[in-house]
Amino acid sequence: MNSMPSFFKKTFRIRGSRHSALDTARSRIAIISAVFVLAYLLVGARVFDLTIIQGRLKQAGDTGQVVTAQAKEKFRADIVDRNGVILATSLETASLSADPALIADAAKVARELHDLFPDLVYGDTLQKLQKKGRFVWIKRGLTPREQFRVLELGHPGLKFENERTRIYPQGSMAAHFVGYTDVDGKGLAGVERSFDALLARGGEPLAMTLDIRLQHILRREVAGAVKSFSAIGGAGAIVDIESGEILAAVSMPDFDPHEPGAANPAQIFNNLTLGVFEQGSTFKIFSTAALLETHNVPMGYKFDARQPLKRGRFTISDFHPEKRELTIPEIFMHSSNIGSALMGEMVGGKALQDFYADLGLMEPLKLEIDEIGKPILPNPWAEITTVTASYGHGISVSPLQTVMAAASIVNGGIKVNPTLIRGENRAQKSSVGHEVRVVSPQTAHRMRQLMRLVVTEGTGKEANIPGYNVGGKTGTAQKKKTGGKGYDEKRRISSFLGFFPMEAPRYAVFVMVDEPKGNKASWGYATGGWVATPAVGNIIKAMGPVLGIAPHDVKPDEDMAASLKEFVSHNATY
Amino acid sequence: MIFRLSTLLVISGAVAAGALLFWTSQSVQQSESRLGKLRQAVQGEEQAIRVLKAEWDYLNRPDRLEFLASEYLDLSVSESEFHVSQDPGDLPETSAPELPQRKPSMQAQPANFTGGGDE
Repeated sequence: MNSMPSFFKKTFRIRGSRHSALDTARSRIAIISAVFVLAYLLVGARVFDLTIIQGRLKQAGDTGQVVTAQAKEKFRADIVDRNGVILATSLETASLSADPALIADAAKVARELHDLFPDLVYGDTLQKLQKKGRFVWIKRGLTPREQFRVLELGHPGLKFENERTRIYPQGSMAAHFVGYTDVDGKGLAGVERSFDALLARGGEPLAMTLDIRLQHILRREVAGAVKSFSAIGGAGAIVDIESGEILAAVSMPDFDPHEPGAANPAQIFNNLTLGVFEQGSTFKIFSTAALLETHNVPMGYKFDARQPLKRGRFTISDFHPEKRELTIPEIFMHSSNIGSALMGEMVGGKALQDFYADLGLMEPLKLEIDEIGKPILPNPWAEITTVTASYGHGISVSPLQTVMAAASIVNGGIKVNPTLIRGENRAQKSSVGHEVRVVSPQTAHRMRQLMRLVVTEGTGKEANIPGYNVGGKTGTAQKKKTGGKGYDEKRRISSFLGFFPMEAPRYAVFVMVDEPKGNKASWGYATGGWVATPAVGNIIKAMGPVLGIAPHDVKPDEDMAASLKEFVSHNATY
Repeated sequence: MIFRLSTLLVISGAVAAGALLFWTSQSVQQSESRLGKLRQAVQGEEQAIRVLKAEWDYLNRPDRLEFLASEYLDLSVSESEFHVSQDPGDLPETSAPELPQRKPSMQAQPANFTGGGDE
């Protein structure tokens, strides 16, 4: 204890003896100064942090700010074709805005912007930039390259807002079936509309059954036919009749899905599935099949087509009058209305209605888009309806409905359901597990022969592509007069419905042209055989190599239709 | 003495803990900022990939390719007659071309086998 300095002794004494006010004050001072020292230390540490540490980091390119990754909502799912080619995708696009308060030389900025975007009017831009406010839109939906160019200008007053835009890289190629969205990304038409909830959830792309290569071929040919025959519209389809998958589908005129607002109603209208038309002679496929299915008549059975048929106040005549008795193959290949009407009468009204209903012609088609037309059926079904419906008048259905009904017959008699979404039909088939038979295999085979005959000998010769053994049926329907009753002979719908290869049909190819006008190349004719058949021929010719279908040449006497030739009179005018 | 030894220990412990906390928070901040930046970079890359994919399919539009091919290539559209099945029997008989004997001096030169046609 002796070695202790006197100060400590004193302290101890003070402590040890009694608590005085002085002691309390002393310890309070000590605590307070400790708090201050700590506080200064903290401030010192923070100053060190901000100046030295953060400064270092800043030099190293680290801003020191915590960049929070925004929890962004998912992109709307893409739509792709059967090979994964993008039909619709969502991209973040920059929209250019400006803060006029930060624009020093409005005239210069406006001129430079006008040079970059010629569609921006110099005067308008200048006016916007000279406004009093702090925000004006300049241009929306810039491409990355345009954004880069604007950034290169380096004006601090020009700013970007990110927005999501739906992009259709294929343009108007399949616009009616892919559909389009509004500015908020809500599906308004086509698959964009019917699968809106699924697409909005994001994730895996939705695969359609379309093949963009075939889509292009089909569109090129339909557009070509519409143009060269000065038609008002058209439609086309390529269907895999084994699976019901629609490989290509076109409605003309079409529109740019980026700007559906700029299109007129005729462009937006889907002629293939929403439009219902009197189909004309392609319906003879159904009435002939009905006859072969319900009555055991030989192919050589003759119908009297010498004179126009009078039924009540109606007279039914032929477009190419043969003025003689015709066999079933002759009626089919010359497309005789009189013969088909007589066949329909032989089948009978009730049986014909039931047959059409089995083929799905009496109710709207089931497909994965909402643009589906309801058939216009005569109500009540009068006796004359049986006659006219046999050659495709007095009953209106959508073109795709006709294609699918004929496909069901050609496909060996098993009903084919169309689909636009990949994998959908396979799932249905496995879950339901049963097939619907609409005609017997024998009838199906005879119909294949008849359709082959149309292409080898009849109205469909232009579609006879060597090696692919095409079969089909032409159709030329007169349209109803716009005001009043009756039909307008000058306004027609010309079509051709083809199948190939006929020995084992796999593909249906359909082209329809609305109100074609005859041209020089067609000698003024505007019927299905002149307008739509060559287009189908071109499509099949181009399709073969794309799909890698090896041609299969058949000798004329081994042709499917060869056995029908004995029923065809050789003094025919063809 | 105002501060006992234990008090000193506690204070120094607190200072050490504070320093450790500061160091930890600093490194967390840095890691977070790095993470954020990486996320942003990933987002940017994903965005770029989306744009490039769309652009690829845009540039490969069949109508555009058809136009470019007709404009710049001496190729015509293939027809069904050009198509043969994969069965080798369908192919016409061919025999490998016999190459002529080469002089030793010519072997140094690059052999040109790519040209078609027999010599």
